Amino acid sequence: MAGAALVEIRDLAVAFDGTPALRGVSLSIGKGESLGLVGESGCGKSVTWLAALGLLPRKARVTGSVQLAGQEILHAPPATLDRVRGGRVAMIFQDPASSLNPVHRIGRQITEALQLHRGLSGAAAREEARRLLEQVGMPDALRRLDAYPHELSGGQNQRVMIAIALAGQPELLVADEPTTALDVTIQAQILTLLAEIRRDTGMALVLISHDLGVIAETCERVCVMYAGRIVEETRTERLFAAPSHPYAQGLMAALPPIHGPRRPLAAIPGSVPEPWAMPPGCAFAPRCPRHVAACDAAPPPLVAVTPGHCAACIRPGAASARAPLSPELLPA
Amino acid sequence: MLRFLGTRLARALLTLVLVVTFAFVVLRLSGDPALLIMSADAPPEAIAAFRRAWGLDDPLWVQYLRYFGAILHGDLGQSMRDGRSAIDLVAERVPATLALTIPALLIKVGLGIPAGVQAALHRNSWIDRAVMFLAVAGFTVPSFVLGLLLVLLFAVQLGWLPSGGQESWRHAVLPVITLGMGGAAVLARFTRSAMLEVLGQPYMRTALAKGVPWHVAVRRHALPNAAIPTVTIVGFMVGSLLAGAVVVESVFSWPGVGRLLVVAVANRDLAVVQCILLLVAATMVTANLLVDLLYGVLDPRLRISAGKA
Amino acid sequence: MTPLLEARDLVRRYSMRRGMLGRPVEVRAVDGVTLRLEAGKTLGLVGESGCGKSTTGRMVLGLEAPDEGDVQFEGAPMPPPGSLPWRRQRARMQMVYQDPLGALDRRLTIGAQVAEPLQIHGLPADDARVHALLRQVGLRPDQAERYPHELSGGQRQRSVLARALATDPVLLVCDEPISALDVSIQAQVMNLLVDLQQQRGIALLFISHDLRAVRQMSHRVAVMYLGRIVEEGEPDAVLHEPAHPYAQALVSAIPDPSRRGNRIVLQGDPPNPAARPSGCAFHPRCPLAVPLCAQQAPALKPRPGDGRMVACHVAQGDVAPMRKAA
Repeated sequence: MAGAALVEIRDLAVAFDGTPALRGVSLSIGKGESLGLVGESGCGKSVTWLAALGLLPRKARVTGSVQLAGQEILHAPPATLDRVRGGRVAMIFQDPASSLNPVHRIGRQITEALQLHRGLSGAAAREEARRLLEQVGMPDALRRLDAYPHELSGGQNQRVMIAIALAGQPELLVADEPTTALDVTIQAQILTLLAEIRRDTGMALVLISHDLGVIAETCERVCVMYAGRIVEETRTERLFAAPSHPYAQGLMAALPPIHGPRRPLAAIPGSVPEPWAMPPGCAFAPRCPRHVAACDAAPPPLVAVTPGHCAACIRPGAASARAPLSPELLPA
Repeated sequence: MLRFLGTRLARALLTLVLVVTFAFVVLRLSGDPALLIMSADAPPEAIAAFRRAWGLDDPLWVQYLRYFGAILHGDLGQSMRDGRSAIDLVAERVPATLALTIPALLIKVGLGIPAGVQAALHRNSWIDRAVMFLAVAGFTVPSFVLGLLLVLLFAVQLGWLPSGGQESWRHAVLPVITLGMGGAAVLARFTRSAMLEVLGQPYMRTALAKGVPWHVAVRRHALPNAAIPTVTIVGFMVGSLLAGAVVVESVFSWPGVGRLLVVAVANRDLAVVQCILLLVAATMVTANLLVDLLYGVLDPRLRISAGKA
Repeated sequence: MTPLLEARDLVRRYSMRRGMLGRPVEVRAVDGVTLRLEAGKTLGLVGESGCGKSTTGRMVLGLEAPDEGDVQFEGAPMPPPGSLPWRRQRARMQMVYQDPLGALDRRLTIGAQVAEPLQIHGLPADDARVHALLRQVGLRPDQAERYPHELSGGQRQRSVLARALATDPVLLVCDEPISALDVSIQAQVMNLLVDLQQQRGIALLFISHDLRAVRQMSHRVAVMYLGRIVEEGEPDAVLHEPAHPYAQALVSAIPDPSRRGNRIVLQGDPPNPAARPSGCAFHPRCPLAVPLCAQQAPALKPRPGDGRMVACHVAQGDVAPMRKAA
């Protein structure tokens, strides 16, 4: 699989003003694959891709390597990056309303991408923009070309963002919390749309989300991130059937069930350590029910528990997700 | 749209009425024009005759109504000093003031906006620091101090330029620079913060994520958005084209509207002062109206939505 | 038995202007909502943005006066706002908002903010009382000296809860209390709310768009759509076998690892309260709508057979469903 990787990220690290935000992330995504990145706010799931595409502010210090089909794009010259961004790799964001420019008509915002990546202009660009809007399920596409973002709903704006992303016929779409700002029924529409587009175009998808359920329905493979590192990586069904890292287990146990008896949730005690006060060893150790002294020695590496299933834990295992918590770990 | 214009115009007229009333009350309560205009040892009969001639012995509200009625007929009264029409007196000073304020406005916009944009684009760099240092300096140094410093340097020390008067274009150089620098500083600071705000918006990231080169994203996506708040400040500057030069005209003995105002206030020359205030208020109100209309052009969110289903 | 809280036919209208130049339009944010809440129980109010759930919460608390209908608290009508009985009653009902940072004053310590309602309502506000309140919500007494920005999101929401509990309320209206929090912290706050309810017998009006959270917390659930309750009942009944087509779509939209595909995806956007469809407000998006649905608004009433409360002509069996060609 490594040979066929579309994007290969190696030891990517990011620091803002000397404070690490991403602490060494390696992952790869194959052609046409769908990969989920899940974790809580500040875990680095968005920063990973913003860094990979050179979209972080200048004050960010980025190290490591990002290869797109074998070509290094991290710290590549602006002209190279401008061709990659929106061309081979497109990205959409959480808040569709503010992600579109309020003073430009949406038709112009789509044709801008068509001009950059496919050299279309004038009537041809406009016609293609209309086709793209229809492809993303926008009703009354022709008239919508002349609308401004504030005249559309949140769900429609996210469709416009997807149309812009599709304009460059990307090989990979990175969707950063694409449904978090939307209502539940609209979230379902957008996830369905993303799945359809992937089926129709064979495009690879990276879905960044805090919501395990969203990832589960959309992605084949998933990386769980915590405090700037990947702590578990496996096929999606495998993660839900047999999570290995105690954080992944905790995340799943903390989700209120839809079926079965209602009982107190197995909340993960405490909170994520601040980036400037990381524990010396495993970042999850202070909240971990399986914590032993050895956990504090060094950050555990991501190693295979079974083939195709990796966890960054020195005591990985299928310990019950509802493992009893030691009393001193109750919410502080 | 007509409704919008109608309410705006009504509001503008109300502002003008309030300005006229305010000026009338303040000026009439702060001293007796008869005593100021006539010499101190004038015989009481002469003073009484002056008062009668100008209607100053009527009750205040009668004077106010008479004055207001005259304004509605386009009559702004005569100067108590030399009996000439107040409008004529003011009108002949307007070109001199504009000769200072219009070039100064060009400096403000031409220097302030690009400086602010560059400072924002190179945030925390030496460009930013230099622009902000100059902006804070220009912002805090009062115009009469800056004017005097320029006079000391270029007129007294170097002898390159005259220190006052209105004989040639060279006389205008120092007052124009004095006026322009202060405004450019204000505009640079404002443009910088408007630009920083816009550069941090998610749509800028979207533009870069779709492959728009940085300089194009700045021009096409950032500038139009940053222009929206900046227009307010420029509008204010346009509105003060007539009144913004009072201090500088005095420092440089420039015979414009501002100096006329200073003299007229000192003399309690009611008609002239009110004529100037009305003129100034009218320009300010007109500029505000234009700014409001310009908002509609720049910001589609303020237009009536047409594409809404 | 008199319920703790009973709201009847609440209506709230706003006048809304579209853009700077638009004409004002009347918007019915809440359009005839009736609900009751027993002491010590939780009513979950669920729906999408703009469905009127937050406005309902504010009217129930008396923070906003209904244009029609009335609210009875412990069997008595709400006293007029601003009066002494109103103030006294306000101490017995508190609100918890979505954004704890916005609900806290950045310039005051947590301790001072927890003490404030005690002082306002003339209760002893010594350190011991404040520390006891903090401990009750799982904070340490030394955290009384902290400022809001020095705490994590979960700790802030705990502080808001401590402040709300200061006056010993019998009713808490929680408006999206966990949506701004991370998943692992959401579970902590939900557990805390349930514990507090069990210890102190507080009734909760739990407003959320998150059906999982609503099931976890509630004894009864009401589903709102465009200002009206469309279905009400036991959480497991509503969530496992929703009767109203909108509730069915909501439930099927819950991301669920154990299910892939075969969900009901509603077409169209959440409706605009300023342009309310005729008849049943849900009919333009409803997969089962029949012509009657566009003409006549269905009432919320017990369904023949099992008595489920649902406002739908089709679910009530008044008409046969019409499956739209997909």
